[in-house]
Amino acid sequence: MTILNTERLKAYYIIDVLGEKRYVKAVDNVNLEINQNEIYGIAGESGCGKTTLIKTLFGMVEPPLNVTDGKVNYKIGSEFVDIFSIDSKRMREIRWEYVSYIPQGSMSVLNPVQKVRYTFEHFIKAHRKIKNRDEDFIKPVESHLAALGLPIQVLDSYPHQLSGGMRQRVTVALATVLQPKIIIADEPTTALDVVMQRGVIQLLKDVQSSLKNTIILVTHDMGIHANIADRIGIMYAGKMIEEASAEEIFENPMHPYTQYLIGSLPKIGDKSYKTSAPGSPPSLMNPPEGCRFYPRCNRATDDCKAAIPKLIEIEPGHKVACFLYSGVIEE
Amino acid sequence: MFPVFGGDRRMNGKLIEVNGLSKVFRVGSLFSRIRLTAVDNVSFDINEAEIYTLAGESGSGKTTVSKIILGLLEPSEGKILYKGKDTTAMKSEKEKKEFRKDVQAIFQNPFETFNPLRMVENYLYETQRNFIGAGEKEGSERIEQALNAVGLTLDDVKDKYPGEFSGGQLQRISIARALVTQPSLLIADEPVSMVDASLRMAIVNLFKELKEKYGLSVLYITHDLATAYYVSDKIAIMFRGNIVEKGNVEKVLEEPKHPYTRMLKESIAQPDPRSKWNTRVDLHLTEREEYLLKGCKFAGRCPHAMDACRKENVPDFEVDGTTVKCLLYR
Repeated sequence: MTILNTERLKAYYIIDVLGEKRYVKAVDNVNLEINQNEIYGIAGESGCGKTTLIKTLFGMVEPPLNVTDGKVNYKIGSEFVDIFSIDSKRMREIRWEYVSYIPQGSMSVLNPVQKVRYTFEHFIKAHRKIKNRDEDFIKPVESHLAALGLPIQVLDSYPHQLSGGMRQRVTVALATVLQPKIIIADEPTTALDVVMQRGVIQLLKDVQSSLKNTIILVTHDMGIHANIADRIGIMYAGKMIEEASAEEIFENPMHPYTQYLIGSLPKIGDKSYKTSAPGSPPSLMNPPEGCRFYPRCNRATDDCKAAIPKLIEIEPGHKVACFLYSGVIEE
Repeated sequence: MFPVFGGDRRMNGKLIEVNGLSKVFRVGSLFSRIRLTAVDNVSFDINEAEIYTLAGESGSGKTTVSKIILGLLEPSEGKILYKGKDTTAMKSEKEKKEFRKDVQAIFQNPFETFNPLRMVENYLYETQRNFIGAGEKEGSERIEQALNAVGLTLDDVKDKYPGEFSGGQLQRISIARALVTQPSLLIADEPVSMVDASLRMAIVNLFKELKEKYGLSVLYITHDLATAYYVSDKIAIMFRGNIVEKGNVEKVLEEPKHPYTRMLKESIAQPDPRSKWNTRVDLHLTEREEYLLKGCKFAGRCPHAMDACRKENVPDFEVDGTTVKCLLYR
């Protein structure tokens, strides 16, 4: 059952350079269907537009970012709501209660001069009425933290007293305390040590299996995707180029870029020669005509330079945007 | 053809010997000073034409070790012998300069290495002026050779600013900059952690190639065990200032012996949906608490901890060709 979808979403950064408008096409014609009770991973390298995509999904669109075309719909109750057509008051209600966001740097979320308890209280007050402090605030928060395996003492700590991993887990606890239907997480494990990464991923999985909600997880770390995601979408230069179940992406990657990406991952126990894709990703200000990967692709033909391949379902549940598999052109 | 680096090297010898290195930092306020042993009695050797990995989590002391080797920090105890000479006792400027010419460094973030308002070629010319001092023409040849070794040419970088390159290209240029002096040892502190996945292996392969073609040694400092396994010959695993296990990379990472190495290996997110984590992990006390533990620093989290682990300083044991700091192998 779909809980969030996008229709031909285009989010561009519009920059005014000496009176001339320049467009950075960070998200260009992306169609997504994300289901209830699934963990959807979005992978891609820096500058491919993955962070812009999820900012747009969360409705955090501020200039110079503009949604120039397309829609983002949340399914609330039985109807789809286009988040860019509702007023800001309604959006404020939806945000955090219905959809929440875990940002990358946990230090910038928590107020450094207040105890963690204050941040929680402030956050809950904005959405729920606290009549009886004990009943409406302390008990639910403490039981939430206990359910996530976090010590109650964190509430009485200042953010700097917690380790990076603990801070990130407090951020996860904060983002899930109102039991949202959709959790959007932007690189939640980056900048953490491997053992801490595992702790955070463990926590996200626990949250998902108890709330039966949806997690949209962005990271460039394919190991994290393999461990947590049910389905994975691969982004390249502002476009979604492949989408399939995690097993399919790792065992049967179809797009040449995905093949490079999966093939270059080093593993312990495997000393065979690994190589990277030649060249480097294009600038989104001036992407190549046609398929955006063709300048780096070893199987590119003249067709690839002329037109953009459409993301098409090639096998059940496996979508690819590449002329090797279908001739359908994106209009 | 590029000349072999470090012309005066002895054949098949030890390039650098680190002996009993320690570094104590004093932290806290004036009245509650704590002695924090960031590096505790660390010893290892790097041979010629060898890639040696120093791996560990943040706060394990691996960067402190590299800074001491580079001479950016003074050790509290211990010796570093480079080609048989004690670097900590070097007095004359000439000797120091010779050492700096022979041991070059590459840093983590290529975007911070270069001044955005300065053309990148200036860095190459500056290094060659400082260490080689040859004229413009000969200098350009040397720089061209160094750039060729990383797969670039002088024309690629001429008159360009750092903003015109990708992270991977900048990291290559910073490696080329280090190669201008034709060093024997490269110290690379997390050289790929800021580089994109699709370009990462190109940099790692470059280290292998430089080792095989030119006999360069690399001290590769990283938290990423998968690339460490791929690229290096030997590895030392650091934890809270100690080397807990060291040896051949295949031995250490395929059959880890120290409980910490085992946990670290298990915690890597393997890029394979069929081998997901199936056990749960306990997270540790804060970093400082672990640093201050007596005896084995891992005892607080170790499933095999005994009373003895918390009391005595654990010595190294030789097990099956690797060195392990654990009483299980007593």
